[in-house]
Amino acid sequence: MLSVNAQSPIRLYDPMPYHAGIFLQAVIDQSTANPSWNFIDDSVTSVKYSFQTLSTNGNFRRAMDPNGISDNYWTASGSKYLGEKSLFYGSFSYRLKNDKDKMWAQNRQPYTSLPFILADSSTGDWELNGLMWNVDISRELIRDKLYSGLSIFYNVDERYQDIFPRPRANHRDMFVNTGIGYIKDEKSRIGTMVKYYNIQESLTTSKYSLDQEKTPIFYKFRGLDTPLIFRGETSEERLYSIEGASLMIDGLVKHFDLADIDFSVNYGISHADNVDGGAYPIKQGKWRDQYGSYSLTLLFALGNTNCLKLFSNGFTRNLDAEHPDLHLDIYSEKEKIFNGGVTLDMGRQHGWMLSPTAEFLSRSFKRVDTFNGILDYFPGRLGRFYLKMDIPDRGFTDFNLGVGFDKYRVGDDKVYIPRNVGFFYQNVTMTDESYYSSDYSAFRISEQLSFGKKRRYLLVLDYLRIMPDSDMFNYREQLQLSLIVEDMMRKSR
Amino acid sequence: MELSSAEKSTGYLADIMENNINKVFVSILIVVIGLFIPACEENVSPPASMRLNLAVNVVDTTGFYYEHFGSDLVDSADVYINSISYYTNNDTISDSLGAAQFIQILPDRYNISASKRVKVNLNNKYFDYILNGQVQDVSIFQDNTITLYVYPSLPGQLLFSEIYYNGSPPQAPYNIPQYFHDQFTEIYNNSDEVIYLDSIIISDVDYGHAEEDFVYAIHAYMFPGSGQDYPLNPGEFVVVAQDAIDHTTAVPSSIDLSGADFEYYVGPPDVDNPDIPNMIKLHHKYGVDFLYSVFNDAIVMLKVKDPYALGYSQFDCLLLPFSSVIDGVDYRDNLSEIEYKRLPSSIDAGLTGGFESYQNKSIQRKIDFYKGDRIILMDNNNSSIDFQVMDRPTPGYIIGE
Repeated sequence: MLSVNAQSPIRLYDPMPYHAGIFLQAVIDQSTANPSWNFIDDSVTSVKYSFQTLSTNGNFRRAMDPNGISDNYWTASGSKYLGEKSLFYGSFSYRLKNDKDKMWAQNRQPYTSLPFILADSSTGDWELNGLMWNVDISRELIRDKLYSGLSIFYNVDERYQDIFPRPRANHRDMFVNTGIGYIKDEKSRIGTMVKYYNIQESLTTSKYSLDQEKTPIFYKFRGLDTPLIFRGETSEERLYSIEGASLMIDGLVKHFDLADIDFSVNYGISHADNVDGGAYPIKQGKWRDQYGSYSLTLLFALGNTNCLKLFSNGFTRNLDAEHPDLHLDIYSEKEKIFNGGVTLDMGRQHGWMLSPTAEFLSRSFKRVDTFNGILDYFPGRLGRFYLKMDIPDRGFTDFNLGVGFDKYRVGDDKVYIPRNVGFFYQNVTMTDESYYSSDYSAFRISEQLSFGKKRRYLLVLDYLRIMPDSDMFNYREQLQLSLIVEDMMRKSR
Repeated sequence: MELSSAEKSTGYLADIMENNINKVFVSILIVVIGLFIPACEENVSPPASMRLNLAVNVVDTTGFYYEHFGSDLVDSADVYINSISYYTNNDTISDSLGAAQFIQILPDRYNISASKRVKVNLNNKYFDYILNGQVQDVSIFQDNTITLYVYPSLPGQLLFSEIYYNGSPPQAPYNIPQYFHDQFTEIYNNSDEVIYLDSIIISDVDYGHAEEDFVYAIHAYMFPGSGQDYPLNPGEFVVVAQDAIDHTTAVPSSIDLSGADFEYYVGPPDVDNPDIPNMIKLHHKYGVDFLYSVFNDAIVMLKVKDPYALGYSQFDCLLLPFSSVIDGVDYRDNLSEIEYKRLPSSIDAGLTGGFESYQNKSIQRKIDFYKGDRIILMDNNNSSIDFQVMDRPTPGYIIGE
């Protein structure tokens, strides 16, 4: 739920940030959009250099979330028309990430519906170094009518923990989007995109040096309590792989006299397997996830200068996980998020624009561990008010500033536990339940400044501070800063 | 009069709202309904659970309990179940019908044991008997009732009170990577009477023969003496060192065994402290020391008339009868590997250890109770219950829990 950018659930639960833990805005934009539209949407070719840093800290977090996160990306990207009918876009990024005080879990994303986690008894810092590539090609098949696109994203990185027993994690993530788009006339267009993704995480703890004078304890979590415990092991290996596909249909309709409808519908499935060991892999559980989402925006022009925007987003997912030995479903999750609101853009005629937004979000999250007999159910509602002031381009400088306030209230939450719970429930699940059942207030501020003509300089700043109404937690804050230098070039088509 | 921009804007809005009120209203309604319908909260109820119930009926069919207490069903017995995969332990007490109920336990493989201490009058003399029973590796994946048979025995008289097999970590100044010469075995007289150690054998046990009748002894060393030369009084310890020297000179965190009572001596180049009596070497398959494995092994103590009577196995292990074993302890670094146990459940129904090698850790028997000033150590023939892990070895003394 924590996001500095008040993004729609579709973007937050896209497999790239959700499972692969990649939060570079530019590649998430590419991943969640139909690549066939690049040809008409990228109206100018450009070369872009950017730096994005995302810093998170504070103790309002789940037990195995890092206490602090510093996630940095350096990116170079460019796009170019290849002849009259093709547009090429490519980007290359280097990533350096630090997770501070991450407890036990070796998996990079332990809270992404992942009931099977490999962990050890240490709480330490993790460092990640990674490289990622993105290549898009979009092509006009029938002039001004039919477009196609292909987008390939590839990430490799290595994470390691700097304290005993020094586990390492290697990742290889691949996302392939292919889409087609049809423009009927000036008033309507429709497109479809198929996405395939393959995400792999290889966790390794090599036989450690005896001079550590310590003995690690490995845990294999299988739900919300009673992990398998391994003492006296000197090494562990786990390969965790997710494979999935999704289908998205998107479109824009301008058939109403005064309204535009922008929509997308998305459905996806994922499945994942865990295996331990090298030459003789031992199954450690698998899960299946189905998710669907929609996004709908209605734009009403209010005269020539004002605009009323109504929006609604919805997301739902269902996960079932199977025990590796019993071959029975032992864990399930259901999550629903729906939000909707209204934005009024006004004041354009004065050379500036003021856009107040009122938004309402409803969420329910249920997880059931049928092996242990634990059920968590956390419904909640969020109200958000956001005010954005935009000073449109006057040829050289753009500036906009937004401030917002959120209020989240947990509904009638339920926790059922068995007679006996173990140390994992007491140390992890109980903390997580407190997190999910905390009301909170949040304050956000965002600023965007750009200037320059041929070479544009862009500074984007987003800050979010969440203050829970709980004695157990203090706060959580996120700061995202992006610096972009963009060489604008004449359209070569 | 000309209208201002703001007035124009307001005018536009009014026109639009007037002309398109229905469309706008319907659109807002669709969005709002779309938002609120799924927002309805769900009614949830307690979850289905794979947890199950187990009843353990504790029964003595030997006639002992019936003879003294009028029933085969053993009431008030301590019943333990240990989950092999999850390391969870549960215990309860059997009711008047000998039934112990375990509610909402996890489906798993379990080791189940029961124990009851009873005082019986035999010929106007009271004896403390223990009723013990164990079953290992029982798969409990649905509600179940099992019968656990217990057998009467007198508590162990001579026991392993501590076994230090772990070894020491590398430390300055020498940083010896694998220092195991500080291993020792401690034996305790748990009885009310003097016990003579003469001719008692200590042996480690080869893997793979727990179902047979013989100890396959890799090494076997015997206390010297001709019958009554080495008495051990009630409540006294004896320490048998691999090398009876001060090991702290090699590894500062190790221990001083220069005051040990006995020493294993293999022969040159093994260390020999001339002031400490040596154990008699009966069999030594390999190595320059009597090294207990720092990973997993079983140590037994036994007494036989002729240690060579049964001869040797095909792979050069000395065969000794399990029936002569006085005490035995099975240890392992990974406690979930119960299938690799070396001792039958009649000697050790459990498994102790569970830590990495070369950490200066030790396994020590727990204190059961005090008889006057004297410690009585726990002996259920189940090292999972009877032993605890110590962060430091304690040669010649006991530290309670």
